[in-house]
Amino acid sequence: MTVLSIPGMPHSGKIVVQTRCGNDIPNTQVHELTAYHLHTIHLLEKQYPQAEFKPKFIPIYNCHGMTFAARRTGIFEGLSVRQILREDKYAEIDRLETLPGDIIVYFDDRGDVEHSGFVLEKPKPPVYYPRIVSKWGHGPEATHFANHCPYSLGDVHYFRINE
Amino acid sequence: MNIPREINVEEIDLIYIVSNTPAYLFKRMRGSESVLWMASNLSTEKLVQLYTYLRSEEGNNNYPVSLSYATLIALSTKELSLATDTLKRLPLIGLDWGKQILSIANSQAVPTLTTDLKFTPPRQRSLIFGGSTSENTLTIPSSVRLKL
Repeated sequence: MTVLSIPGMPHSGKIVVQTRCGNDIPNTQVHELTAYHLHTIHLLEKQYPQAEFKPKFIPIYNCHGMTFAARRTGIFEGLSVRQILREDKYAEIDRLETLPGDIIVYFDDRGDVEHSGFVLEKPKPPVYYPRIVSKWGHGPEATHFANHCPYSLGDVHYFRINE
Repeated sequence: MNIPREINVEEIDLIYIVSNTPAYLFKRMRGSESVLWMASNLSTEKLVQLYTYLRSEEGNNNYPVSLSYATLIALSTKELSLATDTLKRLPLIGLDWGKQILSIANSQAVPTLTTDLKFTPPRQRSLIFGGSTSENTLTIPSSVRLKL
């Protein structure tokens, strides 16, 4: 089996990512992915048939890296996401008022940030959930309804920069 | 080395694939049937053996890295200090989130061993009525271990 991450070699790096206020955001560019995972997209397609997946697994950025760091790196601390929301002056908006480009953030029942992504299409009948584009962990980018993904749905919030 | 059939590699791998953070990976894996089975049915020694194999070149090439994380999380539910020692002995080759997983496990540790300290409260003249005294017990945790 081809191993994309090479034992003994550095698996990660980091770059400068800052909030609007100029404060640094910890980040890691991950390279941990084996060829095994390239064959697992069928698992995602089977479990989430209404989602559409890009064919490539790119580990170097995660969902928060896609949402807040332009796909350059991964942001793995929930506190960092909260810091970005605060310092970049994101304001919460109602789900039914979302528009393409707004941000969605999934929190778990303890308040930990699990996932984030962009609103792709505003909510429409009959589901009234926006269509989202987000990166699913080490996996591919996906377009999916906000309520059709492997993340906690009990505490989902939408944000937009208004100032 | 054969992986027990009760371990659903697909289930574990799916959790790993969609994990955006170590916290999510830890939480979802610890709740998975496969990891629960591993923690309940495999001895600490067996889990260490499995982990060691999975991190070997052969194991790394035949099984996904997600299985190493699952074994580590199952191991951490057994005895956190042992899991930490295991990681210290084995450099985190290919396990980018190994340290964070152990850190999360450590932060969620709960006391399981207790020490009973018995003491007799000092007599206060105003509280003595019939001449009998009672003994109070204070329980203080002296060691911690992960709660499954």
